[in-house]
Order: sequence, then structure tokens, then C-alpha cells
Amino acid sequence: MKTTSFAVVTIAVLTFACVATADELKLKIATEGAYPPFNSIDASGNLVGFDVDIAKAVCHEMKATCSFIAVPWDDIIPRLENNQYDLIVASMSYTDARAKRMEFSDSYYRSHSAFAGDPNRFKDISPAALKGLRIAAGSQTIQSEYLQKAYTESTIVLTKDQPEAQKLLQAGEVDLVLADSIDLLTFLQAPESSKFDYVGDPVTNDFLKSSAHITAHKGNHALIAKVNEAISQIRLNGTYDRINNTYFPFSIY
Amino acid sequence: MTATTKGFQISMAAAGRLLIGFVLLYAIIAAGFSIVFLRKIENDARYTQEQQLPLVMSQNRNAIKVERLASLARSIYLAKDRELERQLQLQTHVLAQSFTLDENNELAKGVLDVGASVKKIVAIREQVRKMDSGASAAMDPGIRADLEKQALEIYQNAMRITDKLSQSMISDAAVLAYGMSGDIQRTARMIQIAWIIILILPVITAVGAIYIVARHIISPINSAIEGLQSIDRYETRGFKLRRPLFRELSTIYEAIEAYGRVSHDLLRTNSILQALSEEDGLTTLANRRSFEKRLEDEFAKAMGGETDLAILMVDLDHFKSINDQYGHQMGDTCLKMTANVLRSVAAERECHAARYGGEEFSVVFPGCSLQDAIAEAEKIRLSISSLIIKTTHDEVIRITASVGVASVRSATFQGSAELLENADRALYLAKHSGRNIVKALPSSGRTDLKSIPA
Repeated sequence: MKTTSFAVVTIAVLTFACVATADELKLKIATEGAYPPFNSIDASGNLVGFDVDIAKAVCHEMKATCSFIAVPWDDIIPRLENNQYDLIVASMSYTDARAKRMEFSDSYYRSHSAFAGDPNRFKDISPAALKGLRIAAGSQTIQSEYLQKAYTESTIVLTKDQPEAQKLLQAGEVDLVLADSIDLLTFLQAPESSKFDYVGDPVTNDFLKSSAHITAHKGNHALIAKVNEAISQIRLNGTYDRINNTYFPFSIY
Repeated sequence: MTATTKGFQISMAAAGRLLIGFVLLYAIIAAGFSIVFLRKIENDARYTQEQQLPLVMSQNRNAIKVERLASLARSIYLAKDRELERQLQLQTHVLAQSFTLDENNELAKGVLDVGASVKKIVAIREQVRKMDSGASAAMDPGIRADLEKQALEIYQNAMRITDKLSQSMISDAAVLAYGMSGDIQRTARMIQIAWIIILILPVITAVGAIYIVARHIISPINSAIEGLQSIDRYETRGFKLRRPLFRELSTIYEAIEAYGRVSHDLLRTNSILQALSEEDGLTTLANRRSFEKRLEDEFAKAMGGETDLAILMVDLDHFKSINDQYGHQMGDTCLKMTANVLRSVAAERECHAARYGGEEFSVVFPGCSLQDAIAEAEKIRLSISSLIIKTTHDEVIRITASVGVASVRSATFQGSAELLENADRALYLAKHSGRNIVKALPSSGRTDLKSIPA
């Protein structure tokens, strides 16, 4: 009788110990899935792209088990605030307004916005020159915010994601698209976009310089600290460069 | 003999506390220095990690990107294919733009120049292609060559810019790395010097402490021990102790010196007491006890060495009547005068005179025959009888003495007491022979009265 109870206790303790050690970090990560080459859904329905690979590498460094979910851009911040996932890895640019709602990690790449359109029609991209024209940008992006602020005389067409904006350009429904230059590169390199190009000289406007970050719930400093540590680790151990090189011909860090 | 108390002195306990305080203070200072230095290293490391290393990395990254830009420009120049040129130009555009993200205006300007050059090359190529497709026959080889020349010049210029940029990137990185290693070296040297100082000081202090212990503790203790030993040896000369640095030691010194004084006084008192115990108070001759001891010693010596030994017993005649007639004080004077007579004999030859008791005196003559002793006794008797003792009333007192002589050779004696008894009987004989006379018993030892010829 005594031996039995001792065995039961031992098994219970061992089980508890196993559960305790198996209690590793489990994270749910949201991305948009409509922002190639950073994040998109491939033919078999899997999330792929630079953001997704970086997120996987960061998870590996943090020894976390991660699951991914695709969330429309407009919903991505509110649903984080509703605790539906732990992190957003979706080329999130830093803005002061967003920083009030989320915790930002160190940046994992930097980029620049550019206009794309018919190079024969447009040379000048000043607000005055683009007066009365239709310009598309993804809704709730730094580009749409900038357009609404600076190009008040133009018609700003907000789209739910980047592919939609690009389709509008191809269909001739808008004259120009303002988007991330790396994102546009993929679009412009496609054969069906051959008549479009970057329009205007490279813009050195500070507002259009952007950096991409991983974000977490407001106040979750501990998780962000782990993420930062993981980002610097993948930068140092070559993982970042390997991922970078599979998507881009040069370093975007 | 006394340790002087003036001048600098410190208690050993205070010195110990001072030393502990110094060690603590030193440890705190050393720890403080270490913390400051370690913090400096930490800050330097953090600065290197957070500022310099990213700078070196970004220089390195930019150098690679410039190389990439140069290779894109080269590819565009060599492509001569519209679609390839377009792809490459798009890449060049994004790459060139990415340089504007770093706060390096010189670099951004150079890169944008290269981007513009690339655009020009593409434009020239497009122009050539249009001419080719439009009217191939009308194509002037001169214009074509001129355009190609322009494209080459633009390309070469772009290459010069990228070469210059990558050179400066690489040398900037090298300068940064050199600066970083220099900083580390300087910090390391500072720490090295600081630690040498930190380690040397305790060594110097330890040597100083050993010196102080040897000079101010061990050597004073040794001289204190020497002082005690000199007291042990009954050395009457006082020992001199150097004033010690430590107050506790000077307390010990004072105790030792006081002990020395006390034991010196005690020694002197002892010798006085011993003298008093062997002396007759009135005449200052040896007393009976010391006479008997002396006699015993001389008797043993005579028996052992087979040498001669004679003794006298001198008794003043009618002394009681002198006392009665002139008072005890005059009696004492007579006794003192007699003692002086005996003392003067003692000054001439080896003998020991003593007051045996009352008006009776005794003299020991070591190595003296009976005949010689009788001669000495006769001298004594004469001297005493010729003494003129004046009273306070100017009356003259004359005294005489009877003397009994005995020698160890005149009979066989078992002990000094028997010899003494023999001399006593000779004195008795002298008393009975009319006083003021010297008598010795005949050598047979019998008590027969026998006159010795004078």
C-alpha cells in the first residue's frame, strides 16, 4: 500500500517536472499575407516571404514554438489589442501614433517609399504637378497618411492591400501608386508591369524613410527584449543575410 | 633606570586599530578604483557594441552595397537588352535609394550620381535602339559611335565614383577599427598601471610593518628579557632601557625597572641583615653564633688538612665589680676597648675574634700552633692590662683578662665543641691561678693544673 502511494507520488512529481520543462514559449504571430515579397500566401495556401522567414528565425533563436495567422492590414493592430496573437511581423513601419498602441522592436529592415507609374507621363512628383490626379496607397499605411497630408489637391484612393493598388494602376483606374520601393520592385519587375517605372528622382523625404519592426502588446517589454536579442543574434550568425539574399539582390538591413 | 615617558608614544591597541583601519580604507580605495576601471571597460565595451561596431558593420554593409551598385552599373553597360536593362535599372534605383537611409550625405550623393549615370546609359541605349529599329539605313555610324563614346564616358565616371566610395568606406572602417583597438589598449595599460600600484603598496606596507614589529616590539621585549636576566644575576648596576614606541611595552618596562629596584634594595637589606645577625651589637665583633660556625668550619678544615688550629678564650677579670662600681656604660666601654685590642691582633695575622658572651671573648687562629697561640694570648693579656680607661669623672679604670688557650694538636678532639671545652677549662685554670694570666691544658688532656712557662 505504502509502496503504491510512493510510486503514485513519484510519477506525479516526474510528470509535473516534465510539464514544467516542456513549458516553452508558445507564440502566435500575425502577418498580412498580401505584401509580396515580404509576406504573401503561396499557391498551396502557406504564408511565405521575408517577414515570415525572419519571424521563423527569431522564433528559433527564442526557442519558441510559433504559429502564424494571416490578418487583413486594417484589422491587424486592433486584433493584436484584442489579444488574438502575441506578435505582428508584417513590415510594420514605426510611427508615433502606432507606438502609442504597441511595443516596437528594433528595426529588422529599412526602406523607402517611391511613386510608381508611367514614366513617360510623369517626371515631376511635387504635389502641385500631381494636382487632380488619382494616387493609390494601402489604407492605414505611412504612404496613405503622407498622401492625405501632403497631396491634398490629388484624389487619394485607399486600397485594402498593395496588390489591389497595383491592380488599379495596371487597370488605369489610378495614375500613380505610392508604396514601399522594395515592394514596388517585385511589382515592376513582373512582365505585365513593363510600361511602369519608378517616377521621379529618389525622394529624400524623411517621412518616407521607414523602418520595419516586430510589434507586441503595449507594455510587453519582456517579449520585445527577447525579440531584440534574437534579431541581433540572427544578424550576427548569418541567418539574416541568408534570408535577405533569397529575396533581395542587396542588403535591405 | 626609568623609561622616559616624554616624546611620541602610541598604544599597541591603537596601532592595531590604525592598521586595520588603514587596510580597510585601502581595500575600499582599491575596490573603488577597480569598480571605476571595470565600469570604464564596461562603458567602452558598450560603446563599442552599441556605437562603433554597428558603424563598422554599416560601413562594411555599405561597401558591399557600393560594390553591388558598381556591378549593376557594369551589367547595365554590357547588357544591350531592353528587358534586362529595365530589371537592372529598377534594382539600381532601389539600391541607390537605400543609401539615403544612412546619414551619410557624401555617400548618398555619390550613389545617386551613379543612379543618374545608369539612367543616362539606359536612355542612350534606348536612343540607339530606336534609331536601329526606326531607319537602320539612315543610321549614321558617326552619331552611333559618338553615343557609344558618351555611354562609355558616363560608365567610366560611374565606376570612378563607386571605386572612390568603396575605398573611403573600407578605410573609414579601418580607421574605426584602429581607434577601437587603440581605446582598448589604452584602457588595458591604465588598468595594468593601476594594479601594479595597488599591488606594490601592500608589499611596502608589509615590509614597513615587519620593520616596526622587529624594531619596536621584538627588540624592546629582548632588552626587557635581558633586564630581567641581569636582575637574576644580582647585577647591582642598573640596566638602561630605551624608551619603547608602544605604551603597553613602556608599562612592562616600568614594571621590570621597579622590580629591579625592589630586588636591588632587597639584596642590600639582606646583606645588612646577614651582617647584623653575625655581629655583636655592642662591640661589632662577630657574635657567638657566627664564632661557633666559624670554629666549626676551621676545625673541619684543620682535621681534613691536618693543619694546626688554636683558639683563645679571653675573660675580663672582676668585670661584675666594674659594672657595679662605675655603671654599665663604663662596663660597655671596657668591653669595646677589649674588642679593639682583639681587632688590632686580627689586623696583624689571620684570626677571627668574637664576643662569646658577657665579658668573655674568643679568638680563632687557623694554622697556628699552641706555642704561637700562647704568645699571641700573652700579647693580648698585656695589651688589655695596659689599657687606661677614663670615666667621665676622670677616674682611671684598669682591667685585666684571663686567657685559656687550646690547640687541636694538644689532644684528640671529636668536635669543635670539645676543643672549645678544652679552652674553657684552660680559662678556668687561669682564673684559679689568680687571674691576669694565660693558661693551656697539658697535652694529655687531663685537667691537672700545669703551669706553662711564660
